[in-house]
Amino acid sequence: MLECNNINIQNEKNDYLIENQTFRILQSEIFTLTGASGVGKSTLLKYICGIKQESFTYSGEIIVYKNIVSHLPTNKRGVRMIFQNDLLFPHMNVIENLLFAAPPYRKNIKDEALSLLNKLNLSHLSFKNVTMLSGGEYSRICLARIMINEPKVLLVDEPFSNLDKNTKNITRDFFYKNISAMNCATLIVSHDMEDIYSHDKVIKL
Amino acid sequence: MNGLKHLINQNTPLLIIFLLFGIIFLIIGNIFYELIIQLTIRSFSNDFINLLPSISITLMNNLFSVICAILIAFFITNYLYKKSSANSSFLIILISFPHISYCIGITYLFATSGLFARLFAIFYGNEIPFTSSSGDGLANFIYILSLALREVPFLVLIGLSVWNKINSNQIQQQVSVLGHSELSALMNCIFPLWLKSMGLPILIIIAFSFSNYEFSLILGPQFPDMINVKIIESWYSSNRELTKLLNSLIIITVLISSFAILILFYLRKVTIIYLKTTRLFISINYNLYLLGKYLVILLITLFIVIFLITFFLSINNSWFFPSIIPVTFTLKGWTYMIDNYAELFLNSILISSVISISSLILMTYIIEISLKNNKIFRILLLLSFIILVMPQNIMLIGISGLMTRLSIFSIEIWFYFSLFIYIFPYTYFMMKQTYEDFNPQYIDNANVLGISKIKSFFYIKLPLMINDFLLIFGVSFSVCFYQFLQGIIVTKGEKLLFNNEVLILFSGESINTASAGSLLNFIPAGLLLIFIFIKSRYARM
Amino acid sequence: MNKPLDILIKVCILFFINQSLYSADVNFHAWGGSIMINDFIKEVSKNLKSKNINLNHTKITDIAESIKILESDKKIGNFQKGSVDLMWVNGENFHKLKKNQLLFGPIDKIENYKFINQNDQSLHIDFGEPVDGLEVPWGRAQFVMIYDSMMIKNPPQTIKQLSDFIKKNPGRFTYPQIPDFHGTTFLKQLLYELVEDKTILQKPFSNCLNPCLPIINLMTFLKEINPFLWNKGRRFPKSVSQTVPMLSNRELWLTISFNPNMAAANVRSGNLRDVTRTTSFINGAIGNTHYLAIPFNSPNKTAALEVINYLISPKSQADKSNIDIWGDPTVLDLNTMNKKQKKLFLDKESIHILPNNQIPYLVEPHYTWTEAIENEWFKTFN
Repeated sequence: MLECNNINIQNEKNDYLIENQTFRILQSEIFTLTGASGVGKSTLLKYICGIKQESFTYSGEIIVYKNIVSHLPTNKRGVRMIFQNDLLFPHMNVIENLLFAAPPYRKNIKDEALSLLNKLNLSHLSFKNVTMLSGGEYSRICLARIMINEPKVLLVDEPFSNLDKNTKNITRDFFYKNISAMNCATLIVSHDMEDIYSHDKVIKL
Repeated sequence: MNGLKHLINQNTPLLIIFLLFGIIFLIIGNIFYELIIQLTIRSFSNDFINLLPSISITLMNNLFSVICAILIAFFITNYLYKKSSANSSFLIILISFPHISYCIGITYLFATSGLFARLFAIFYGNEIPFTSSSGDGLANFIYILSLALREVPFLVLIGLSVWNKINSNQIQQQVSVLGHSELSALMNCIFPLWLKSMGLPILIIIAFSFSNYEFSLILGPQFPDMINVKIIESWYSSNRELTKLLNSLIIITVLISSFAILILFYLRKVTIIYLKTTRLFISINYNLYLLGKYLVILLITLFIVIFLITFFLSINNSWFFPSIIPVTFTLKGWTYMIDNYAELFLNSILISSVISISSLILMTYIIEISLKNNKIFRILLLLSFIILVMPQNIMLIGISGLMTRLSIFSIEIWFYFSLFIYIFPYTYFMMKQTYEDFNPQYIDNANVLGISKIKSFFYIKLPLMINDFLLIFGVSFSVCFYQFLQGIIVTKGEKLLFNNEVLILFSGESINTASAGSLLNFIPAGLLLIFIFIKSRYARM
Repeated sequence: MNKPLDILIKVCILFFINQSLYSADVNFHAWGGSIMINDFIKEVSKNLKSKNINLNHTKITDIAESIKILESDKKIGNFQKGSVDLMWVNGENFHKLKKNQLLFGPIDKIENYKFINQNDQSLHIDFGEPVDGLEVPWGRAQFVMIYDSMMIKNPPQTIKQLSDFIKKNPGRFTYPQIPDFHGTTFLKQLLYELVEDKTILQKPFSNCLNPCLPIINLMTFLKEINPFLWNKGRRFPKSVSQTVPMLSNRELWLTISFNPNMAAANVRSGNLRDVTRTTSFINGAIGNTHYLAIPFNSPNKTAALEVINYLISPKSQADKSNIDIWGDPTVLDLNTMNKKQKKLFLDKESIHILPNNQIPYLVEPHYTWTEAIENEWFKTFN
């Protein structure tokens, strides 16, 4: 469960990008965060994750499964994120990216990773160089990487913004089908109203 | 007009490169031809067996020093990159610091009667140094550490530019949001990517380690018994056995340097594979930032101490154990150098400048004319690779032999050529970075406005790239200015650079004059690079 | 006016103008590592200007460089336009030059050659090889040992005393790495001390029985002292110059040299402490001569001969032997000089060096012994 209480983010001119935002996302719930371009959606997501911009001022409480994590570094918060320009590690192939992303306590996960790729109909890409993937394939592998990480809280920042319309539709369906199956508290940023129809709640900035 | 037509003909650069290739192959061919006539398999295998201890020491020491240099450079680059406000201009000064002064400082730090021993004497109270019982272990350690630290500034300078291209900030964030530690981001992702792009700088330093001579000459008795030294000793010797040994030494040097390169690149490959698959670091929260910081402090402190030691040596009248600072001072070393070598000093500056500018112009010309030819960079890479892989001392022995056969050119021409060919790979490497960083959109915009190629080069490209060109000139100049093997092997004392005279003085007793000379050496390259750096910073502001 | 006289005067003027305009360049290849020697040659160069000679001191690291130039000149058939006009050579290198016919000669017909000591055979035989007029003696050298008198009260003067000193004071003595010229000479000196019949060393090494007892004895002695040398004999300095700072810092207490005046010169220049003194083997120390030679293809042979003539003049030799200038002993016989010339050679006394002619000269062994000793040393210690 993800709880954000009284989040305030001010830019360098002390203008409020985010003012007094409070919301709670329970396990299995999917929320959408919408707003005009530049309103601070990505900034809010990054703040929840623990990624701050130096010139901005932040305040507010982040609670993950009843633990206050506001003071913790990104990797210790238990919050996972897919960026707008998510980056697969270019020196690793697809399967190596997945293996690397698996949680620390998991051992001998190669079979599992291959099985996941198979389930997602991506097994033909298992040993492919990530720099050779198409836009849609890239986005799907980014999701596969997050899936193997077994997130409890997932933030997704406009993952389809760089795709053409056809690829976007295919990839979007793929995403939501699999995110729903993950049963984690999910917050998706999107300015596309088509993405919102099946979701639990909308947070508008 | 016809001449200009030929000049801008796409085939002309290829002809030039072809000519250079031809000369290089003639040089290599000459070396092997001489060896085939003079060497037998039996004598070679006997020499090889006898030299096995030296071979293994040379191989191990050079390998370890390069590996240490890479690791230290990585941590320092990590620190400097993160601390973006940190002034990395000190790297320019460290790179332009002469090898000779550096070696003097190292010798005087670690010698049995050196600075550390003198500091110890303050506390221990001994008026005379303890007897030297340093075994091979300490000598090898000193060599490895000193050579490694000498190479670090160069690796860091290139490494920072490589780091910029890796997108390391995003990688860091990406790894953090997967729940893995910062150390994991560094070791699993950034280090492999960084290492992958550092191939050419690593090649440069490993090639240098197999041909360097000044370290042995000046480190003196503490220096381990290495092949680099034996080659020059054989070159000078009138002992027939040692003269015959030279042929075997040439082959051995080529073999072990090639072997070392293969090992290093294999290790690099294995390291990258290991690091991208290991999960050792993902839960370890150790911060290597501090390690980088301490290494920077160590590096800067070492160079400052070395500079001070060399400076004191140059002005001391008598500086005996256990004094920490000289008792009496004199400027006679400096005045002697200026009185006797001013002309050679200025001449060396002129020669180095002309060679560097020529190399820069030629490289620019080749690249510009063949820009549509995608293979040009690969051909230049191959040529640079061949030049780099061959240890400099062997290359020069080849040039010396070829000079005797092709007596159509004067000794000066061969001298300038041997300097030019040495800085060619450096020029190529830096030029390639510059062209890769240049946004071709500028030229496309110029083209659609109807501006000619030549005009767009002089009015658009050149002004935008001028700072990079100046830096390339500065680095080539300092590399050229510090050369001396050419004066020994190619011209045999007939044509020299200033650095040769400094080295000759080291073979005598007057250490204070030689030290003054080595610091004088520092001035042109140091000032030039500082000026270039300041200019480029102002340009950015 | 008297027309023929006019013409004669004009011709004379032209001749003298021509003479004054004429100047020859002499490229003198000589080791450039010593400030004292460099300064001396610079002074000589100034003095030669009056003879219209430009003496250029090409400072080299090792004469082997110049020999390589000559070898390559000969190979390509350059017999007229060599770049080397004058060389400063010593024994092993002379042998190579002579054998390969790289020298011009005879060059001993110059005016000042009359001052050279004709009876001293050590000046006319170089490492056992007759000079045959192909080189002219320039200076002398003799094996000495330099020591710190605060550390050593009774300096060694025999091989037994040296051995005792080394064993009682481990790590305080060493010799340069073979085949450094001084290192090899030290071994030859020890050979003289160890051998019963010294004449065997004047004959080629091939005359020595197999196994050669003198060599065996020498190696035995070296093996005995090796563990007590500096750095336990694991490593050796590359040259005598590297031992000078070690001596000044008292890392070493005793070192060797081939310049009897080295101690005085280095104390004066601040490289050695004031307590530095000189000693040698009382039974005799190897004496050696260094020479000047003209390459076969020098284009300025006449001028080079003039330079040699100047360098063996009493004035120049006196300057050279002055310990405040260089301190290199003269090759001239003072008995051939007049009073004025002799006065130039007033011995400057110094507590740092031994009085002149105190130690008997031992002639260098035949050159074949040099390689034999070096090769045996490599086998034993390298």
